[in-house]
Amino acid sequence: MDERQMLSQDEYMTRQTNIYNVEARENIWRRYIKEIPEDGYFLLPSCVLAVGYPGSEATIPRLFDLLDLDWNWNLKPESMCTCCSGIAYHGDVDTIESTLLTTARLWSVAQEAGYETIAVACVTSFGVHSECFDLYREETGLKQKIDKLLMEACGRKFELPRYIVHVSDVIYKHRLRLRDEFMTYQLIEKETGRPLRGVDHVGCHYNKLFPLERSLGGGEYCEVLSGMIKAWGGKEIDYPERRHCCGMGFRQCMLTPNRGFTAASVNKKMVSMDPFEPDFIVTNCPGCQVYLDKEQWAIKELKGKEYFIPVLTYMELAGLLMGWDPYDIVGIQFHTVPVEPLLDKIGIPYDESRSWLGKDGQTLPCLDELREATLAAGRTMRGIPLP
Amino acid sequence: MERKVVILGGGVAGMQTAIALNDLGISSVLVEKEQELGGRVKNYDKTFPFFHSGKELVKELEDRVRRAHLVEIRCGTTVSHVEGQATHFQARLGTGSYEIPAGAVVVATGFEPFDASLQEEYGYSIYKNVITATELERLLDPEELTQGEIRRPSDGKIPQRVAIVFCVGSRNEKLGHNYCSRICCSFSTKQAIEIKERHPDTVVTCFYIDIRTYGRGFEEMYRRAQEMGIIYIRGRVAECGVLPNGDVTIKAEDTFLGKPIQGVFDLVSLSHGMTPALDAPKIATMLDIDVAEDGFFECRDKDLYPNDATREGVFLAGAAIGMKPIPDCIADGNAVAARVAAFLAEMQERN
Repeated sequence: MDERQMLSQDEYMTRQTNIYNVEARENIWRRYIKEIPEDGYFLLPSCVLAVGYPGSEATIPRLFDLLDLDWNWNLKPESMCTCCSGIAYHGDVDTIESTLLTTARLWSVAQEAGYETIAVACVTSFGVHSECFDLYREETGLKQKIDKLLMEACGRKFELPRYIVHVSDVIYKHRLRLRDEFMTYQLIEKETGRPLRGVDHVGCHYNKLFPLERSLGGGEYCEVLSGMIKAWGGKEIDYPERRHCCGMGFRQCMLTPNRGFTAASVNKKMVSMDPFEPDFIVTNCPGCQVYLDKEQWAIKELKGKEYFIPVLTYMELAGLLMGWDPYDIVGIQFHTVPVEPLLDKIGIPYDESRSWLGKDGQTLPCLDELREATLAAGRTMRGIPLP
Repeated sequence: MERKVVILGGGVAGMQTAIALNDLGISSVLVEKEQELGGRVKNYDKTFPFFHSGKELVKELEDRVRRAHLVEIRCGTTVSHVEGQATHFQARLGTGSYEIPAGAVVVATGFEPFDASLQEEYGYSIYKNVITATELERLLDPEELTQGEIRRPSDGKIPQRVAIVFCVGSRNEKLGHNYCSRICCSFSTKQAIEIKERHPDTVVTCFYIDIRTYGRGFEEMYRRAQEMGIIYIRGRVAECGVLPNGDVTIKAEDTFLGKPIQGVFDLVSLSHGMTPALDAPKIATMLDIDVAEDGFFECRDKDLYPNDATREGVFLAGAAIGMKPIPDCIADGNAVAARVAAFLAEMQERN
């Protein structure tokens, strides 16, 4: 073990006063406080998150209801939310006009339902809404053009929303209330009382597009996730590649030969954070969540190096600390990197056999088929004893 | 009509103005907000490009100004209020009722070093081993704590790998500082040479956008630095990070190679640029003169009257009108004294 690793033990947290000024760190982000309304959110879910980590998406309404927040829970299905078109726009297969129209329609639906705050669950979508908002400010005549197109397309009118927030902003705003009134657990190692070390990974389209006005805490020392880590008992890790992109990139998703960039980016981050011995990674971007989680497996396959640092969304983290069932509600069985070691550290009980149960505790009809396919691939299934 | 001149600021430009006015037979009151004369230069161990002692330079000027019988020195106070018109100003000092009748006012209020913590990507104020050029100058000063040895703040070790990042807070549109601070390239090159002289095994790497060594002897100093083995990499540093042992990582671009590069350093010094004096807007309001877009005082005409403010009877010297090295500040002092003398003579003739 080299000196760098030796110093990365708990001792690092004490010694860091010599190399890291915690007080200055706490002061620097306060230059960028954004206004987050207390209540009244028009929730726009994420396309990617619901598919990859359904428990995470399902946790949002539970948290909002627990906090007794007013949100668009009773919106009629026929006027429901659509995709923001962000993936198509950033992948260069759709025009900005289509995206402007799509967001204008969503804003119109929100305004019709009486909400002036758009709360977006996806970071790309947050970037898209923020960018569209900014375009109206910058381009004279654009509003009139989209007004006309929206009326022609679906007979709707719209105004610019008063607030655009990310759902992580909302959870950040209520983080202390969640801890004090509802949480059963804290980010503290049960056996030793050690605060768990958390890496925050903030999505690029949250804190790099409009760092001054849209990112809580600014672009460099974004506070939205690390604020939750610290409030819930953990310690944030500041490592050199902290601001490095996860490597998702819409082009990498679409062009197979470029996919190596993603694994390379995640590898870069892992190599950089590893000496600090993080206990978990927390994300607020569905894309980052997917790739930081899945690529750790790819890195193991490619390089033989097993980092396996659990990657959680802030909603999943909140859900777990709430004491909600890790499988039935939070859905940690959808993760590639096992989350159970983190649960062991915190002392959250779990029953692994529940990881493959369907709705209402029913056995999945396809379970046998899954088991056979897994066995044929020479792998094991977590929580399912092999025949 | 009054012939006395009030000079705001007792740095090198202010002192030289007072000395030159004295030589011309004009009395002045030199007002310095600090307890000592000398402004920023009194903290410089060595000046560039000739490695003279900043302290001795200030001492020499101070001796001259104290010997000048037409100069009244007022330290530890500021001009708080100015009334009246050119040739009939009344300048009040501090909170008291002491007023100085003045024919003209000279503003030589200098500059403020850029607060490097505002360029957040470099982690200054958070990472202990990221320091500023001003702090490095103190490390280089034999009269300071480390007795002139470079020791990094986290553990007191002599750094083997030092990075100097140029243009911190200068030529930066994001920060609203589009101007070049002019002196930092040379100042930091001077510091790089001093590090290399004291610790020959230490590798010093300078990251720059362009090297602007325009003055007499500056380019020669830059050449000497390169010949000593100091590495110059053309490219802006994107960000700094810290490792558990306190080493600082740097991500940058090498624009000659056209590639992003990375490195690990024991100590990083930020060559921070200069900003207008913090009280410049207040002084501008008090004297009813303009500040330019860059925050420095506006000149009556940048080509023909670079030392005249936008109001009759008010003159400007030194870094108050933009960054300049010490010899230029001295030249400014002489130029302003000549302008003031000409102005007062003209006004007297008119009356």
